[in-house]
Parts: sequence; C-alpha cells; structure tokens
Amino acid sequence: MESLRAKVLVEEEGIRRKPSRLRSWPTREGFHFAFLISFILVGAIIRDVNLLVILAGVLVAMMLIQFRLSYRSMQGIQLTRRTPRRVEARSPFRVEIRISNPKRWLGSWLVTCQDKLYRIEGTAKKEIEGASIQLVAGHVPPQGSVELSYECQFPRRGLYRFGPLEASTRFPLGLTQAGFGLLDRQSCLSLPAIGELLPTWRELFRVRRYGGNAVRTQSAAGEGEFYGLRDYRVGDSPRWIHWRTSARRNELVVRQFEKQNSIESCILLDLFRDTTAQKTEQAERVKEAEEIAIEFLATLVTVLVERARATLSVAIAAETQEVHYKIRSRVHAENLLCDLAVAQATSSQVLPSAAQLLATPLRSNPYLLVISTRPNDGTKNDRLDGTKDSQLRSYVRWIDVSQGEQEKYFVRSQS
Amino acid sequence: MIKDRLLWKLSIASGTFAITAAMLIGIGQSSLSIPVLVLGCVICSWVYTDWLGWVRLHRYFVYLMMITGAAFAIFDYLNQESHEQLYSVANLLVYAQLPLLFQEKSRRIFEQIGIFLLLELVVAALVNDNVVYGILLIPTLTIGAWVLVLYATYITYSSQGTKTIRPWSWRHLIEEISLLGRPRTVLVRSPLSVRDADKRETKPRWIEIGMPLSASLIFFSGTYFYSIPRLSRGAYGATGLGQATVGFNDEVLLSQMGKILQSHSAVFRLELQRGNGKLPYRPLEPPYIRGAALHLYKVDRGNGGWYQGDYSRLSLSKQTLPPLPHAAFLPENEHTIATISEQAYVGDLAFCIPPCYQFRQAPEVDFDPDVWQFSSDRTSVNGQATRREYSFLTQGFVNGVQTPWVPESETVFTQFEEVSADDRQPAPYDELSKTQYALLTYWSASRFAGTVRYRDKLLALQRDSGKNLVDQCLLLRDQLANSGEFSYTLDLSMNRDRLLDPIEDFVVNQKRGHCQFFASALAVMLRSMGVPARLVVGYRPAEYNEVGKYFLVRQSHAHAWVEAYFTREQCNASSLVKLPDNFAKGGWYRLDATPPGNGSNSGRSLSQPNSQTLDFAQQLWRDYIMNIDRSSHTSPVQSISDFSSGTYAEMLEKLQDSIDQFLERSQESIFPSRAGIWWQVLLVGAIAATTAFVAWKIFHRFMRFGGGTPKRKAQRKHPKNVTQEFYRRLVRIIEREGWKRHPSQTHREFALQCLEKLRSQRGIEPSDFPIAALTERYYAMRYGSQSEWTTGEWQEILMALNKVEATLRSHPLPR
Repeated sequence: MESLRAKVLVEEEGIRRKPSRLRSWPTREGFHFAFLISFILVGAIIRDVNLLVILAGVLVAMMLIQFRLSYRSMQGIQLTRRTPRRVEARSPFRVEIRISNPKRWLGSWLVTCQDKLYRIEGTAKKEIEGASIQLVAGHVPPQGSVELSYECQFPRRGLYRFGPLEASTRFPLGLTQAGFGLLDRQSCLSLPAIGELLPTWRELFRVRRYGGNAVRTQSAAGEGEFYGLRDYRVGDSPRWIHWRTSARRNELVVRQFEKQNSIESCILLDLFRDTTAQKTEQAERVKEAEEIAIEFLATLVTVLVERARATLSVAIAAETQEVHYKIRSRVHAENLLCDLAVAQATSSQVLPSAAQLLATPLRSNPYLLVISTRPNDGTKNDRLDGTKDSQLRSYVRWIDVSQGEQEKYFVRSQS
Repeated sequence: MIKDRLLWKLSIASGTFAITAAMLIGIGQSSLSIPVLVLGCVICSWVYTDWLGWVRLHRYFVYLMMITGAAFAIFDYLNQESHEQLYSVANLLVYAQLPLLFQEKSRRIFEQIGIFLLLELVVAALVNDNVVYGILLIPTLTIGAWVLVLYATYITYSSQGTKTIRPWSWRHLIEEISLLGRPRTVLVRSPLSVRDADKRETKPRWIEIGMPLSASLIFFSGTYFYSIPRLSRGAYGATGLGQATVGFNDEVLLSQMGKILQSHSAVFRLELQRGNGKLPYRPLEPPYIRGAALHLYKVDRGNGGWYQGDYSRLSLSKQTLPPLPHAAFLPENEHTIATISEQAYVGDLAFCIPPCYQFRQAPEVDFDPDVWQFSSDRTSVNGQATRREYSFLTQGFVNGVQTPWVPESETVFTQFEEVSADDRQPAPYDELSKTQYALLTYWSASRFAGTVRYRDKLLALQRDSGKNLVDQCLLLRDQLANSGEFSYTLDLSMNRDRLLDPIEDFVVNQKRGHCQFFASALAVMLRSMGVPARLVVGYRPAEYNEVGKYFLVRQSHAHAWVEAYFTREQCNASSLVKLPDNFAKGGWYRLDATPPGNGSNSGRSLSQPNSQTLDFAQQLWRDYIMNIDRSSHTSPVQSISDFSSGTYAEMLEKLQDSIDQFLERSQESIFPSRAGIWWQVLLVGAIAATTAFVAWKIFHRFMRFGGGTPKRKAQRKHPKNVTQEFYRRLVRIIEREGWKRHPSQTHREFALQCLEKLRSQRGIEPSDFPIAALTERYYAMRYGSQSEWTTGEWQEILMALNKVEATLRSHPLPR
C-alpha cells in the first residue's frame, strides 16, 4: 500500500516551477474607463468635436500606456517561495517569497504577491478549505530582488498545499493589471501538535506482573553501559573487576556502569469513528477525541524517545493501517508523526488486524497500551477478540480518550 | 498606517482634481460660481470630513442630496435656452458630485467621484473653445493621472491581507447568507515583514516613470489627434448653437448700432498679406472693412434705421467673385491678400475691402457686384450654422493707406449685366439705373427741414460755396466731424423729441450720437443736394496683433460711413479730390463724418492689444486644434492620386469624389433625420472595432506583445534562471579583460586558466580572486541538486563577485 506520505514526496518531486504565461486584463476601473472612452470616442467622431477627440486621445493613451507599462514591468519577474516541509500544528512558521527583477533598466512597482494555502483531505487529495494572502512589494529595483514573508500557522494536523503563487501589478494608473502565476504547488505536512506529559505518565507502563517496576531492558553486559573505573569497594560484584587494570595497578579496580531504565513497549492507536453520531455537536466531539488521541500518542512517542530513551512499537488502526517497530530515535519518531498527520479515523473494525501487526514485539514484551477513541467493552478486552494471537490480549492497558482518561497523563498544546 | 496616509493623499488629489475640472467648466461658462462652489466644498470636506471627521454623511442622506441637486439642475435645464442647456448638464454633474465629498472616503466613493469628474471633463470640452482650456487641461490631466496612481496604490495596499477560501457549497452559501458562518480556521496571519533582499533603496524613483509617462501621453495624444480621420468639414464652426450673436444684417437701426458698439465680442480676424502671400501687410491706419451698403432710410415707430432697399439690378445678385480682369487696373494700388476668419457666429453678411477680386480660387461666399458686398446663406453642418473663412485679393491700399474710392462694378468687371440704355439715368449719372439713382437720392424735405437749414448754414461758411459740389460735400463732412459742435457718444439716454425724425433731432437738437447718426446726417445732406449717397456699415479695427500679424475685429469696432457717387466732371472741378484714371465715368467716394475721440472708431491709429500674446495663442489653438477637420486631412486616395498620372489619376480622383459625396450624404443624413442615426453609430462602431482588432493583431505580431518572434518564444520557453545571473555577471567582468571561454573548455578549465593568467601576468593570488568558488556554485546550481540559494549564500556570492571586480580594477594589466 502506497502511503500518503510517499505520495506527498512524489508530488514534491514533480513540482512545476515554470511560470504561467504573463497576461494582462482590465481592472474594474479599467472597464469604467473603457466605457467612458468609447462614449467620448463615438461622440467625438460623430460630432467632430476636437476637444473631445483630444480628451479621448489622452484617455486612450493612458489606457495603452498603462497596459504596456504594467505588462513590461512584470516581464521577466521571477518568484521563488521557501516553505518548510513539515511543521507542527498550531505552531507559527514563516514562509518567504522572493521577487527578483533581472531587467536592466525597468523596475517594477506595486507588485502584489498572492499566495494560497489549502488543506487537503483524504487520499483523493481534495482541497477542502484554505486561505489566501496578499503581500505588496512597493518597488523591485532593476537587477534586484525583494523578499516578502508572512507568518503562518496550521490549526490542525494534515496535509496542506501552497500555491499557485501569483504576482501582478496594476501600476501606474490601475486601469489594467498584468501578472502571472507560478504553477508551483508545494506541500507541507502539519504534524500533530506535541503537548505536555504529566509526571504520572510512568503509571502507563507500570505492569502488575513486575511488581510495580517499569519494563526495563538491560544492556548486553547486564549492568548497563560502561562508564569508567574505580577502586574496589566491599560488596562489589566480582564480575565487575577489571582484571587487566587490577594486575597493572596491583590493586582491585572495578568497572563502573551507567544504569539504564529503558522502556520497551507497544502502543496501539485505535482511531474509531462512530458514524451513528448524527448531531453536529456529537460529531465535533468525536473528531475532537480523534485529534486528542493522535496528539497524545505523538506526545508520548516524542517525549519517551527523546527523554526516556524508550523503544516503542506503534500500530495505527485507522483508515490505513500502519506499524512502526522499535522507534528509538527522533527520525523514527518523526516518520510516525508523518503518518499520524494524515491518519483518518475509520468506522470499520480494524483494531484486531492492527493489533496483529504488533504480534512480534508483543512476544518479547506482552504489555500493550491502547489509546482509543472509544471505551473498552467489559473486562475481557472484547475489542481485541478478532486477534489471532491470544497472548496479545493478556496485558492490555486501555485509555479511552472520549472519556478523558488521558487527562491524567497529558495536557494538549495550547499554542 | 500606509493606507491611512494614502487615503489622505488621495482625498487631497481628488479634491484638487475636482477644483480644476470645475475651473474648466467655469471657463466655458465664463462664470466663477461653479469653481468657487467646488473650491469651498472641497476645502470643507478636507477639514471637516477627512481631517477632523466631524461631518460624515450617511450614504442614504448623500443619495437624497444628490437627487435634490440633480432635480435642481434639471429644472434649470428645462428653463434654459438650447445653447445654455449644456451648462445645466455641467451643473448637474457638479451638484451630484459635491455631497460625495462629505462621505467617509472609501474605494466606492473614489470610484463615484472619479466617474463624475471624467464626465465633467467631457462636458467642459463641449462648452469650451478657449485656449485657457487647453492650458488648464495639461495640469488637470496631470492631477488626474496623479489621482489614478494614488488610487491604484491605495487599492493595492487595501488588498493586502488574508481571506479564507472555502469551496463552493450550499452549506457555505447558507452560512454566509445567514451570517451564521464562523471562520473555522485561521491559517495565515498578517504579513510579518517585507524587506529588500539586496538591501538596496526601495523607494520608487518616480522620475523614472513620470517623465516617460508624460512624454508618451503627449506624443500619443498628438499623433492620435492629427491622425484620426474626421467625417465633416467646418465642424468647429458648427459647434455654435443658436442665432448669430455678432455681425450685421441688411437692416441696421440707429439703436441697434449703439448696442453693437458696446459689445467686445470678437467677430473675425483679418489677416493681410502682400500679393506674394508670404509677407504680412501692415497698413498705416485702421482699415475700413465693408459689410453692407444700405440705401433706404426709414423710420418705424420712432426708431430710424437704414435698409438695403431694392438696389441690386441683377436678376441674380449672388455671383462668384471674379478674378482681377487685367493687371493694369489700378496699377498704383498694392495687391493685398485679405483673409477673414470668423471667430463667432456671424450672420449671412460677410465682409470685404473693395475693390476685391478672386485669389487663386473663389471664396465660399457670394458676391454682389452692385454694392461690393459678400454674403452667403449659412451653410449647415450637423444641423448648426458654420463659421466661415475666406480669402480675396484687394486693391484697397496705396502705400499703406486705404484708398477712399470704390469703383462702380461695371467699370471693373465686364461679364456682369450692364444697365440697359432705356433704364439709364441721364448723364452725368448714367452709370446708375433710374431705380438706383432714385433710391440713392431719396429724402424727405418735410422731415429734414432743420437738417437742410443746417446744411445751408454750413455751406455758407465756404466763401466760394456752390462753385463745386464735391468740395461742398467734403466741407459738410469736415464740419460734422471736426467743427466741435457735434460730439461722439454711446450714451443715448438723452431726451429725444419724439415728434422729430431721429436724424433731424440729432442735427438740430442733440448734436451727440454714435457714428451712424453722423453718417445718416451726412447722407441726408448729400441727397438733399442731389448727390447719390448711401450708408455703409462695417468695421474699422484698430487692434493690430503684432505677434500674429492680424487685426482682431470686435463688435466695438463697428462703424458707419457714407459713400457718395461723384462723376469725373465733378471731380475734375474739385481741387481736393481726383478720380482715379481707370475709373470710367465716376466712382464711390468714402466720407467719414464721425468725429474722432471719446471712443469713436474714426480717426484712430493702430494699437496693440494688451493681451496680444494670449490672443495669438488663442488663434493658434483655434487654427491647430479647434479647426482641424476633414479639409485638414489628405486622404490616402488623394495622396496616391497626386503621384499618379493619366487614367489612373482620373480614376483615383473619381474614387475620391465618390468618397466625398458619400461622406457628405452621410453627414446630411445622420443629423437631420434622427431615425437613421443608430445604424450610423453602429457603422462607426464596427469600423472602430475592426480597426482596433487589426491594429491589435499587427501590434501583437510585430511589437512582441503576445506571440513575439521565435527567439522570444524560445526565451519564454526557457526563461532565464536568475540564480545563474551571478555567473553571467562574472563572465561579463572577465570578458572586459579580453578573456573568453573557448567552446571546447569547461567552466572549471576556464576558471583555472584565468587564475593561471592572473598569477603569471598580474601576480594575483587565487585567494584574492574567488573565481573557482563561484564556478563551483554555478556547477552546484546548473548540474547539481541545488535549486535555490539561501540569503546567506546570496550574500557570499555577491561579496565574491565584488571581490573579483575590485581585484581586477586594482590590478590592471601592466602596459
């Protein structure tokens, strides 16, 4: 299955940077002007009133000069836009637009740059809503350039598309407008907003079988990473003695280890959408719960990987099912965030099959944290009934976001 | 902030534009009321609406005021005469525009004001023919262009910002209509910054645009004005509306002449040139310009006046002015070409300086040889009377002084019908018919008893009275003009004796009056002595424009004098008057009995008007702007015809005639019958559209507007990459040193070669000449994966380029 993220990358590779043909069109004032000119011209020709002929001549001259000058001043103008590929939702970022004028003598005045942004939904990449922004560069000198920038903030995760970028001018008289568009459609992925984990988050990984200890893995040596050497003290394990150094120094020297409390766990995101919610408010609540679930997972993964050196395996039960094994670095986490950015809730029962994707890591560590948008049915983990491997249903912790169970561990980003 | 500043500037500019447009209308109306009204309103709106914000009228209240103003102007329109109705239209536009000034300014308000101002310019063009309009039009249009530039800037900056785009759907539509929709997402914030990437001066240099813009406007407008074909001739003259307001007709009442003399309206321009037509001719004294010769004196309801009478003996008095019959006629007189250009709507009567003849081609006025008089029915263009311009040759001057003699026409022109033998007046007046003689000597002894007594009293002053008739006539003239007993005045408010004839009352009681009183008194006295005499009305202009070399004739230059017929025998007996040899049996002698001074046109010397430069400018304006018509253009067919010969020339001339006839017929058919105007408008529109389309295609093809040449197309297909511009600049810098990359060399090899040369020839180290680094940058962009530079990289590149340039400049090649 080709993931949406891959599609985004394909699209970015195929960006058309060629500008569209420069064209000129009359503005509203230009239409008024043209109507008056035709009125005066007909009067002047029929009645042969020379002052009207002069007046018409001046007005026609204004129209033509406006047309030619605006057209000429936009010829050769080049636009480039610089945008980040990925941003965090609800965090402001900056988009830079550079207008370059390679002409030798003629500058460009009152250059208006219009950029558009659309949010794209679904695999069909339908543009659903967006915004446009207009920026004005008062003067672009010949053989010079001007940089415009604007601040942007995506309110939600998802795929957004910039463009087309259009530049135009109505200088000097505003009767016609000349411009062109840059058929440059850059995409930007708005990743889920990263919130804050409360100190109680450790309870999520506390499993009864280990008597209240977190799941820990140890290094190959059994005691952690080698840290240094020190003199032997009573009670030190004989295994820690570094014999070569002890022989050289003629006294016992032991190896020092850094203790690692690394968490290894599996998380399953259950993005289930109840289609029976007819009322708008209910539907809004359901959608909000989906967002919270995704943000909770994103925060959990980012924070645990970066701060707690955790190794996580995550499966997403959504419209498209994804799994990420052994996420232990920032890059891995970001890949997961990309999938979370475009994940869409589903109304079909995909949870068992998604859980099945985690079968391999669960064999070594049977603890499973489920973040769901619905409550778990009863005490027998009925939601996972369809799972082939019965072991998967042994150690499950279910967080129902729709009931606000995550609030104990997580606070959403407010920016 | 920038929008507020622009709004204020725009308000100032549009207000100024409104004032200048109102001034243009005011000039056309010869009234300051509209400009002063607009000035007051504009200043008030600047202060109270735009600056202090105290007065901001509601939209509907403004509409109400506009409707009220329009109603007032329409009422005015309905009560105006037809030629003043355009003034009401101008007032309508101004009244409707003024309330808008007191609204809070916005794009909509400026649009509305702009449309009203443009329409005001159109109406001002219709009510004006003054050069001041032309002078004011330039600053007005400059201010108009300034308004447009500011408006465009304001609109551009107003559009700056963000808006939400939502796909069309019924739900969104309903949300928006019901105003229940709330912004679901705010994707974009306000712009963060706009800055110049190259740290250059970002202020636009207006001179870069303003100068070529103005020059282009003037050039295009001029070319357009003189190249656009005109449909009719004499259109400028036809713009006059209503009846003639200046000039004479063939009835001149005594009271009428008084009114004419008090008017300063321009009538026509008289330009005199020597016979070769190249040098101006300046007479030594003001010329007598003949209008109408009046033969019959009548009193109607106590008001005396002169009428033409049934004088003309020709069955058809309208003739073409014949050419000079032979060069030997009046050989001592100077041949002068007189050109008369009417400045206003003169009546049927035209003007001449006799004896006059055809010059090159007959003037477009008719000639009455019996009285040396020009006239024409008012030709009509667009349903309106035209102004005329005509030239003729005159022999009226001798050494700069106008000759007092006017020959009898049959002496000069043989082709006209002579008086038959039976109808001849017996000698010595046998040049005149019996009817003419009777008309010219008619007077009423009962009505002019006092005048005759006064005549006798004057004649008694002459010691040898009765000896010579001509000398007696001259004596009467001199006594009336110079005795001091009579005085010239335009004040006719004296108590007249209603029982007396006005002339009798003037001679016996009042002894004050204008030129027509003096001429009438003299004519009556001469007739009472049996001398055929007639009154001639015309002009005697004293304003000679030294700049333009012409007389500007005004109504106040109107004058009346007497022409008396003297026979050769009578003249031979006189010691004062000598009949020219070429005259056959007698001739008409001019006698001006009006005393000089007190504003009289008699005895004046030439003077220069105070505003002669402005008058001349006005003249140029009329000649080269207002008067341009179809006769000013040479049609393409005519041009080709001039270079053709034989059958082709004839064929082309016929074609030209057909076109002219078609245009004439069209001209006639368009305006009298209003039913047919629409197809004519459609025809003109279709021709204009076709011409515009063809011009556009040609422009498109050859002026590289759209399609362009193949080279240009190729350029468009592969647009220049501005990121490689730095390398082009580098190559240009190096090429200045005479080094050029060989086609077989790679860029890297060329860079190494340059470095090697610089080291060996000028001792420049590679560190001082970062060509290699720049070449690597070029490779990265051209062949590598880099698609754009960061700002920091750009700065590095620019610094490197500057370093390359500076190094080469500081290490020139040793000579």
